Amino acid sequence: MAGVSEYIVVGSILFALGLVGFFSRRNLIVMFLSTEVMFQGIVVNVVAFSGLHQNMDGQMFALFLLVIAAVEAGLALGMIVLLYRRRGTLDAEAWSAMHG
Amino acid sequence: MTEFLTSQFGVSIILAGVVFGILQGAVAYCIYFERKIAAWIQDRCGPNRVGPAGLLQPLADGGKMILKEDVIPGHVDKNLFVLAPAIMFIVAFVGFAAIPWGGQLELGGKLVSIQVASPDIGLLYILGVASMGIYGVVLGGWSSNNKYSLFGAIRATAQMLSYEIPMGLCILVIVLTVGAIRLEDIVLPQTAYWSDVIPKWNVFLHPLAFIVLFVTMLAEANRTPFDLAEAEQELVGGFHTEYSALKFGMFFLAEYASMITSSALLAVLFLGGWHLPWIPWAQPEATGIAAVIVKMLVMGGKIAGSLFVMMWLRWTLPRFRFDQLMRLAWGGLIPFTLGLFVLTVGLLYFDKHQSPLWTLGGNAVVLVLTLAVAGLSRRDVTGRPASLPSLEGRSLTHGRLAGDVS
Amino acid sequence: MTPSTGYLLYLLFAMGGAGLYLLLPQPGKSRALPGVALSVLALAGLLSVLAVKVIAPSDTSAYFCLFSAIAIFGASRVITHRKPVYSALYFVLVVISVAALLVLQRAEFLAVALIIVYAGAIIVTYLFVIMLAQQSHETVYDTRAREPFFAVLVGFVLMAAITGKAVEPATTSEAKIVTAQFAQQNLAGAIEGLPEGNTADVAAALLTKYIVVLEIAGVLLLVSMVGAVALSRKKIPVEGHGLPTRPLGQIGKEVEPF
Repeated sequence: MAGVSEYIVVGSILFALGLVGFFSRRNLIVMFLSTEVMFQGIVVNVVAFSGLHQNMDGQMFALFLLVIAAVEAGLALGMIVLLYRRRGTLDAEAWSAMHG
Repeated sequence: MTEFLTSQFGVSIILAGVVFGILQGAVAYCIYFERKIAAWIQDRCGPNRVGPAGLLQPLADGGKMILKEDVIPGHVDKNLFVLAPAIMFIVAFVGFAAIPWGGQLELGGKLVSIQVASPDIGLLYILGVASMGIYGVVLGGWSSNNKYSLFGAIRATAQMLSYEIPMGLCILVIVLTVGAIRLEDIVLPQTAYWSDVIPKWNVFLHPLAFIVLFVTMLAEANRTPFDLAEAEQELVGGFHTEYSALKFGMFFLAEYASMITSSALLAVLFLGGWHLPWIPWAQPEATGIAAVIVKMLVMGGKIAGSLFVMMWLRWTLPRFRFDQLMRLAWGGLIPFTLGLFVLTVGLLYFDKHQSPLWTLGGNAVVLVLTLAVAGLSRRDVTGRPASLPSLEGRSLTHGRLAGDVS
Repeated sequence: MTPSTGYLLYLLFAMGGAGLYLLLPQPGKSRALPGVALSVLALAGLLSVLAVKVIAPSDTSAYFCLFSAIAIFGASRVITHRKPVYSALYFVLVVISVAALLVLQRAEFLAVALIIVYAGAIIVTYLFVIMLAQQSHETVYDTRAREPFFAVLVGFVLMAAITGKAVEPATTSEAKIVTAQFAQQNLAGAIEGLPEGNTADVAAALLTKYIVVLEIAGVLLLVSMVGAVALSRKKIPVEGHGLPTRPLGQIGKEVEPF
């Protein structure tokens, strides 16, 4: 049976991959998908802790992470649609200059 | 070996094979019966050339599907184009795993469930699997790189996401009433009787939730009157416009398979699953092999009845317009099922959720309230929203375009 | 874990990071082959490290390795694929394998909730936006990563820090006691003690200890809904609303459709 440190390693790899994606990709949608990957890493970790401590705290945390992810997706997609209407592109770099 | 075969795991594996085989055949014959029923409703003969009364028609259709040229158009995204029908097909069949087909069977002194898997979260499992079915439609529509397919996919996405909400609320009503989400535990309380006569099927407690669940299942399976995703007249077939041969056949079979899953879920949630009153073989105490076969037949009969109503509706009702469809979900079904949900929670608080008098009375109250609100609000249900200017003296096609953008 | 596995893990992370750097979309000639080779090597190495540690006969650890591999593979494809639609689909793969990892931890309810909420709703809306905004051709901003080297470096440092903590031998006496307790009461034993279905436990915790948080989550969802509606509303100029009018039927021709 896999111990908690294995789950931590896997979860943190997912988190780090999401972080790399968030830093390096320029497509707004892929950037937000990367943050969702980071959420997945956290879910793996907190549920592993929940199993370790034999209580529900970790799972509750993961459940509320789901809520946050849904909230984030709703707002982020609304904003992406708005930004796409303004510039006609999903490139994050199109918004690097503060004019206009 | 015998030990393995009589264990739950062995039975599950055998059952998975048997159920999959039977359902493949059932799905093929669904198409035959759909055509027969259509013919009957339209006063025609229907398929009657292949075999006696056309009974071998599904085989001929299957052969045709396999032998046709499998065209992959040049402008499509090939990987997703191939993946989409596969996703539809797999998802449509995977849901069967958690359906309880026939109670329990006594094998070598032990009781095993006639169910491929009986997870604690059975109901949620089916919902989760069903929610994945949307990917087949979306990917099929998008990867075809055809604007009609894309329209179909977008319509299907919006429709399935919207109708999942009233569906979930109806299911929650039953979950609250029964207090379980393992499907076997939902069936078992329904095998008792009120005053030894009427079986405690949930449909007698919540008839309105039953009807709404049936409607949302039509929408989830993209059946008429909710088949806007394929709307032949407008979208040339919608998301499967570009598909041919066996890939098209997989979409077709998946539609019927998901209809069967929905019907089975409906039977389990509201119609007592494999239970039939007064028949000794269809009681939970009967665990012999004959009893299991009778129970499976009962379940099959209930599924067939529900399928018949679906086909009947298809050849009776015209298709909704898209704004009507959305208004029905968000303005009609969701507030209505929320009312039912609040009612059930209230009855649960006063511990009256199992008494038919209270639930039926509450259902009537919710229905009257809904009708009153609908009657008092001046909104025209079928017409154009009042916020948009009238179409008097305008070209209708242009006007409708502008209205749809809102 | 021992320090030597820790160093091995650092090496594997460095390899994986280098592979990732090569795989991130960049202009110029394709560097996919060495990238794939390095990443696959790193993933295989990582799996064998995990497998040596955890696999005992007749238990579920093989599934742990399998689904971890799928999750990591899927996540790296999410961030390296040049087509956003594929990124979203690989993310579905990540979600499903993470759900499987949760099932291994006896968190079935959470696993199914993850699939219904993420795969069934969130990613579908992402796909919706991608489908509306982009057709299948590749765009310039999807084929050029922004500072891939530094991004990978940050990721590597983060991984090194986390696993460094996870595999570091305890130094203070207090830490030693905690570590010993953790080692004794390891996850294996802990999970086997849990009942098979935990939906009732989830509900009990949610509606007693976490009831306030639950309410706040509901309010948050409401705020998000209002915000999303307010953000994405589109004023369509029609007659009688005091806005400049346009002839009906011209939306999509003269006026930008979206």
